[in-house]
Amino acid sequence: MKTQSLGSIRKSFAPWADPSEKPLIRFENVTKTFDGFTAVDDLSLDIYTREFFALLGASGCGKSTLLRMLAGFERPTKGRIVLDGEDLTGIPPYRRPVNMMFQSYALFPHMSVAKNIAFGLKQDGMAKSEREDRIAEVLKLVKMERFANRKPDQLSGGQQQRVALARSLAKRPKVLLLDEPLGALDKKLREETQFELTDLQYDLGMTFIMVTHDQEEAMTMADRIAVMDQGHIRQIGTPPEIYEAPSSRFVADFVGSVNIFEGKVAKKTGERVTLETPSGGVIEADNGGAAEAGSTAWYAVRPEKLIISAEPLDGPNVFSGEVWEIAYIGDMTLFHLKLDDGSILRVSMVNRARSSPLQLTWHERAWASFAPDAGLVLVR
Amino acid sequence: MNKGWTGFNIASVVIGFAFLYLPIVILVIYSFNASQLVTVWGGFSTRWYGQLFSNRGLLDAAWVTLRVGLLSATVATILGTLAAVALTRYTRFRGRVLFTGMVYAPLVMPEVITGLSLLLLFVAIDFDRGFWTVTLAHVTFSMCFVAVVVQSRLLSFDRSLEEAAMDLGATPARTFLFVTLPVVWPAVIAGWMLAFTLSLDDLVIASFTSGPGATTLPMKIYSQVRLGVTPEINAVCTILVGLVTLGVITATLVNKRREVKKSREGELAMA
Amino acid sequence: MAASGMGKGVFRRVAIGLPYLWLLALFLIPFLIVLKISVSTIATAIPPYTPTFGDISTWLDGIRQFTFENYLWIASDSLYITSYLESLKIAAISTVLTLAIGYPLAYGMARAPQRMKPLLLMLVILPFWTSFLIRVYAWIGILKPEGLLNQFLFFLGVIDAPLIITNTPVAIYIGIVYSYLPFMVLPIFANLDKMDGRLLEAAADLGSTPLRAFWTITFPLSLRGVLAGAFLVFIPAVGEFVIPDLLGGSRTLMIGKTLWMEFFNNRDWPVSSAVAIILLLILVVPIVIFQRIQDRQEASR
Repeated sequence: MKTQSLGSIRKSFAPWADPSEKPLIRFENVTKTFDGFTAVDDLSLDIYTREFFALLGASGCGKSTLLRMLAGFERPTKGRIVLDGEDLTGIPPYRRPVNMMFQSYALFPHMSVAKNIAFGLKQDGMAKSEREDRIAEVLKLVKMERFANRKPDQLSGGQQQRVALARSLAKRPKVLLLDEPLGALDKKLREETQFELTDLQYDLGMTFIMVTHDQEEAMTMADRIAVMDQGHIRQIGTPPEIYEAPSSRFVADFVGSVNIFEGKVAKKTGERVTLETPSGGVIEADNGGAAEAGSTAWYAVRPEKLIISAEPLDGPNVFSGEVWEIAYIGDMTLFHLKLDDGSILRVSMVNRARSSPLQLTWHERAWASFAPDAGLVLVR
Repeated sequence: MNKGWTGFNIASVVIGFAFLYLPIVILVIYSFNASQLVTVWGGFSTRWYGQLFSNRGLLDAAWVTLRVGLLSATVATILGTLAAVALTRYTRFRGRVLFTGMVYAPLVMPEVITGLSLLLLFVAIDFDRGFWTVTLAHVTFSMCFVAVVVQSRLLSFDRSLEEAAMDLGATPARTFLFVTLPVVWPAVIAGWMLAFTLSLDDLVIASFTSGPGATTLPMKIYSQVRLGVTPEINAVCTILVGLVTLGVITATLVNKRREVKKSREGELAMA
Repeated sequence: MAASGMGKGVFRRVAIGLPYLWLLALFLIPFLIVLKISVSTIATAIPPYTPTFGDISTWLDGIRQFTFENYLWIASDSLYITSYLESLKIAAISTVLTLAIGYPLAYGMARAPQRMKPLLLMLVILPFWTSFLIRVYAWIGILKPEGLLNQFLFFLGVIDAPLIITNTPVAIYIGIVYSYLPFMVLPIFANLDKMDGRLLEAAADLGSTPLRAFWTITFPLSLRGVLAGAFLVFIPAVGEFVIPDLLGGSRTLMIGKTLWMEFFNNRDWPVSSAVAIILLLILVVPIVIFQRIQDRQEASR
């Protein structure tokens, strides 16, 4: 696979690729069952210092359980978690050098902002003057200095989110856990806050682990993403790897939108394979190294990698069908072509000009095609 | 559902409340009756109230009741709150089913049975009956009411607050003391008030478990009521009703003021 | 889930242990003693039953003296059977009467303007805080032959001889309905209040008259509140002592009162223990049904 070319956004930062680098956190064959239900299934995972790591998955996939085990609220049924060389098994949450920012923020309603932040510092027996300095410092960090004496119910949602962040940062934990940190914010605020959080993480040089169900959030913020499903990690990788080089149909389908063709590998020469779909279509594909001749494989290609035309197209990988749906979204237009075998092919087109040169309408015939290296051959 | 505040609905509310309040109002009015004959109005007088304060037996009983009430309500609130925590926070421990059963059973247990069983216990272990036995008995049944009141608040409590406290380094005991308890405090207070009134109110269990020298006010009232209605008892009842009304109204006003203050602070903060 | 979160430390031990031990010592053990004494024989000594608990070694003797005599005695004496049946009958009738008064009250409250609801709710709850004994006592002055009700009816000219209400079951009905009315009103109100008003608009829109809409929509939806209220009245009413004693006079038998008399007047502790055990067995059925309803309500929330 061409994963080398799809590196991290921060090019120099890739401790996971360096064999001499020691992970900060190790999940070693961790299993967690609740009354017969397996939430996390024999899962191993390494996370490195200064990494912004995202656990991405639908609700019930085990991502929150993983985070809660690291915080100490749940105990692994099997396996162990090691933080900075120390086995965390049996260490209660109040003795762990990790802090969590809760989805509901969990701000103590009977304490002011400053008291909320002081709470964790007091548990450590920090002296008053030092405590006050620290409170001022983290409040400045999240730009909430003016609100120190407010009660949580006198703050807006965005302000509460900042206080929750300040509170969990105040103890300078080795790892900060974020449980759907932006889930309760509206869309505009969420987008702004995403960048603020990544900048903050970079400036502080801290390790962040975030749980989210929002793929866009994970892609924007994380250095690496683990896509989870049914207690397993389906793939770990940088955002470009996850999007452009998904390792399975599940990941391809979970992250972003995708067209998947099923077919038999009719011919294989090196990386180049020819797939024959059951309805007689032929797909020429690069990146087919993993597929074996004669076996079933899948070709996954994202809608934006296709071109659409009202005229017949030349070359390999041309499909024609009836225009079934047109959705004008603003920045782009999404077409659904109903192919002759009844399946739907999704094609998106960026609207570069204010009026589209393509005059396609419902129930007309259209042609779509993609280059052999536009998609990916999957064997799972 | 505020449509249909019709004549029929208003009438049922008015009749319902008249039924609830008329007997008490009549009782209060007749406590100011000058006549010895309780059902004949003989003009306004406060003579029965004066007489109350020279009735040694009644005052003693009131004093006993007050002490039993304060002590039993306080102990019951502590035990009941702990029981509520155990029921909501510890889903697994040995004998949980029995524990749950023992918390709920006294709520539906006829008072005569609770009283009888406690008396038989005190006799069996040869414990002198009096102030302490009544107090123990009252703690036992009112702690269950406290547990239910506090439990319902704990159930609606955002559990992540407790997790956040522990995440920030607070031990379970400190978490309970500095986070859980302050947040559920209104329910704890309500539980205490309930336990206190249950104790003040109780006749049956006290009759079983009390001994010489520990006659409570309800026992005293009961023994006099059995002999017939007297203006003096009317006066006692009026004082009790007045105190309760005062207490409830004060509590409501304090609550309201706190809310008003809070919302005003909120408005200022948002401005 | 968070059991592990709270740890297994000292705090957990205290939170479970203290109330547990208290209830074991002052609820379960006393109850077992009642059970034991109910199968013991009567003696004239004080305490008036054998064996005594003074010496642990006599516990074994107690088991040897095990007898169902008290239960057989209760079964053979019509006084007890009548008391049980009368208690159930009076409790059932009172429950129906309480419903008849409580439902319209709760319904009217639920339909009241929103800003009046807190006040109305407080007015229903306020009598809870007033002494039960006082509330029952207040009725004596009203209901007795020379009481205010008769005076009032005389004044109106409705009657020419006083109505005899005290010392009859009617007085008990009034007492129970009066004392337990809030228990009936609160769950029904809670149910009606959270009902979606648009349901009735939908019913009207689909052509239903208001009365029809009430019987086909409102009432069925409030049935859980009605059942909860009914049990909250019925269960304590069966074992009631104060009301039958003060309002019912000597001729009305209710089991709570019979038990009291057996204990305080006849000093027959084994028989009163047996009476208590049977009463509990009778109450277990409605209590279990009530618990089921509560659980279902919890689950549906």
